[in-house]
Amino acid sequence: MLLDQNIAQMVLDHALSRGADFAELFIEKTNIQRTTILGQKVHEIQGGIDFGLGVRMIYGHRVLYGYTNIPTSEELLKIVTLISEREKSDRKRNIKNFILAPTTDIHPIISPLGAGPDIDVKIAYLFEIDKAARSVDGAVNQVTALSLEKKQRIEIFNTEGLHSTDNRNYTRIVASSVAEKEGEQSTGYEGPGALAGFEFTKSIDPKELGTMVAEQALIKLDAAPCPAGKMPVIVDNGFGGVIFHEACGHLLETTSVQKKASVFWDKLDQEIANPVVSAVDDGTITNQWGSINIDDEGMPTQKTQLIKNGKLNSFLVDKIGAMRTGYERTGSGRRQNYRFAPASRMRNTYIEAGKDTFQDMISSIDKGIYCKSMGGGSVQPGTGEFNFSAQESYLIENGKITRPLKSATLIGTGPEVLKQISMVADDLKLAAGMCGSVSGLIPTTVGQPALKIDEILVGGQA
Amino acid sequence: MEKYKSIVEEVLSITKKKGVQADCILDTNSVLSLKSEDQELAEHKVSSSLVLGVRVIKENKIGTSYSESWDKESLNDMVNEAIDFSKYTKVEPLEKIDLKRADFLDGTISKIFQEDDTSLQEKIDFTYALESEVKKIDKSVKSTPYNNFSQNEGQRIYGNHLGTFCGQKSRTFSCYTSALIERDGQQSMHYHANIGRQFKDLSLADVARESYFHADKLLGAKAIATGDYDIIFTTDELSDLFGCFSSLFSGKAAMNNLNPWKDKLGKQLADSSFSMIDNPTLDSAYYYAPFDDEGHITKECTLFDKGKLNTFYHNSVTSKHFKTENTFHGSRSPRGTLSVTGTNKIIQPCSSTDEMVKKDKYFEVIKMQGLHSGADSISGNFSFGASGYLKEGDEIIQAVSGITVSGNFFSLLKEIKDIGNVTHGTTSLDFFSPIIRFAGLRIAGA
Repeated sequence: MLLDQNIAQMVLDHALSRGADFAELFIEKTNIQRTTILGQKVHEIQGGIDFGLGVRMIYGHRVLYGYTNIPTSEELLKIVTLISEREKSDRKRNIKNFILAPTTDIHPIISPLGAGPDIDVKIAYLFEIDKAARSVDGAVNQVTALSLEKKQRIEIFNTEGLHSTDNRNYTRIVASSVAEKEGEQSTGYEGPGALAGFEFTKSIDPKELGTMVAEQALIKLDAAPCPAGKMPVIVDNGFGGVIFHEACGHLLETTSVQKKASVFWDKLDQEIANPVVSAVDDGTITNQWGSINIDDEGMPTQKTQLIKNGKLNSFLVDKIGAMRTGYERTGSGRRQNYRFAPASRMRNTYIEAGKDTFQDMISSIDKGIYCKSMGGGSVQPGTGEFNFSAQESYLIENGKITRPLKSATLIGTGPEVLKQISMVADDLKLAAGMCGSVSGLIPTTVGQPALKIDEILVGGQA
Repeated sequence: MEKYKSIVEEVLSITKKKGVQADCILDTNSVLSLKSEDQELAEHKVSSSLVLGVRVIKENKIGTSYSESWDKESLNDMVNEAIDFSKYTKVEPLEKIDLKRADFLDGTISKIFQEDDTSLQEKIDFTYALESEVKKIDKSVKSTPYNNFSQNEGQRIYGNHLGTFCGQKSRTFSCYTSALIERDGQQSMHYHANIGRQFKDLSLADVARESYFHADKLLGAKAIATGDYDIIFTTDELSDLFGCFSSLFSGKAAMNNLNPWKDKLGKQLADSSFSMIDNPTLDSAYYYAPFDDEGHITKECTLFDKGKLNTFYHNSVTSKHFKTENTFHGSRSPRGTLSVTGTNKIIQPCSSTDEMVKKDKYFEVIKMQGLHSGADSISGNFSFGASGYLKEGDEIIQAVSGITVSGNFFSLLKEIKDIGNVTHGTTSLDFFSPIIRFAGLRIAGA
């Protein structure tokens, strides 16, 4: 246990006596280790411990939040008093009993940080990535390979008597390369990750990963400027799902829906996408990067069908979102750490597989772009305007992929682009990413099969 | 500050017993954050936090570790972990902790830490006004979905095993608001922020007016035809663009072969009208950094002189690597390893008036979307969504959105058409620039 139950009781009783309708304590201890290979040497090994406690008090629909590193009753009582300074109440309500809700661990771990292999083993793995990337071509002149491991222990108490704990182990491998030819430079990047211990790396062949990032950089060296303007685009499977994440996912979080600051806030049960589009947000996929056992409000996670055959089926709902919109909670309350109050956030979000084939989609385009590898993106929920970057793209001419193109940004609005998706392939793939929003930076998975967008604005240079 | 200095001293006494060179950085932070929704507090956040990080050097190998707990056991564990990590890292003969100075350097000056006797109620009323001031401008303001008042007090203490200590306290006030306008079925939203060292520095009128002005003007904005346009960035947007390519100024990135300018010192990389300096203690700037994160006293440096790259940002390691002067831009957070960073950046003014720079047709970038994911600091290529105004002089010909701007940063610096004679600061007052007109950037639009 990270916090004495008696202290939790005392603090939450105090919160109730200050008139709060609901109060919650979130305690976190997180160990982090990052090992970096750069310039064919062990560049850095960093590590440390994050520890802190967050107190949330809800009055009606208002949220008061405070946090500290000091786990004493005096400090926590002080924070409750401070954040509720303006609240007047002489109510005396006590929590009856905490009931420890057993957390079902649906994401088994073999080698968590601290009980996994020695640093030597991790270093050797990273060197294999470096060696593979450099052996592809002499033009590859720099490689970075790093492993990031995180062990997060959380404990939650709330005034409804809930007491939950969970352990989350994350491992991510990041590889990047720089290639140089005749004064031109380019980069390649991949960053697979899982809610798992270092055993996750057994599923990632370091030679393949190194080769992949090297080839990505080399292809871009010879790339032509990307055409500019509106055109059909095929977005490949895997990290291509960032388009749905930005164009739609954020707009379905009650964080923006509850303020009517999402263009989809009043569109439940209405057709918001082409009928070929069905999408889910699923926290239960075993060991997937965006998975969880329980959310950061202590609710078991679940699979949420967001869109079914083009119709909006559900939002992503946290506790405050449920209170404000009336929708059922979906186990989507997430936060980066104890410094943030939870908010409705995505987990593993993807467009489900369709019936088309990748080749059918390519053949259907006379002139357009095939985006093989995507970078990040962002969205403005109020208007639905989104953007994302295509890191590795190819020109499609007369139904064939012809030549590589330099990177470009694609922009549009959520409602428009969802209707422009006309073909969805049968090759669903997921990919790890980091998502930043109101409750901080959290691991999320994006995913999709390859899909065709009939028309989107491509910001190329040609 | 004494209380926290003693924690750093305790860490250094542990490292001394272990026989390693060491330095330690301790940061404290306390924040008050308020948000308003329908004239009620939608968020009231109060926090206090402390983090400290140690860097040890043993047999020319570096190890770092950090902790958010500062009991004896945690401090011991942190030092042991750093020493343990050092066993695995490369030999780094250039990295030393060798700065010895007898006196404690206190970087706290009245400019950055001023007493505050504003009551909580005044701050809450101010937060409510972030909503009401925007809404009362025009009834088409549907909501102000994003607004915030923040007060932040921070402290940094640096100490090393040779007894060099420095510290600084700062207090900051900031606010932002937004206007989400809906008219004739169309929506538009814009934010504006303010920052200050005193509560009274925040201008409610400014954030409300600017948020509304651009949300209103950009309502119904349309794409312009695909083509090449002269472009002027607002100072905030220009600062963001330079921020994406900040590693080009990094001596550490150059040392690590991750900076395409690594062998370009002294070369003409920009138009000859372009000069840029970095001044850590600039009087008119928001930031004031009298010492860097190795404890060295900082100084001004010239990054670009008449279009020629003059120096990178250096710390004690990168300057030794390149056999050049240390610019004293060493940077390290408690959680990180030694790096470099810029402070207050100033692009030097030239002779043209703003009127001359703005003559004829140009596109003014007001807002950029996706810049960070769309910029590649190695190739120099960038591509981002943008909105703004097609202008001639100060006259708006057309409000523009739904377009992308693409180009190459290396080319951009050479394609400066004109630079104004008046310097403008960003909202955060850490980047200063005259108006710069860039020639022929590619816009993809209608």
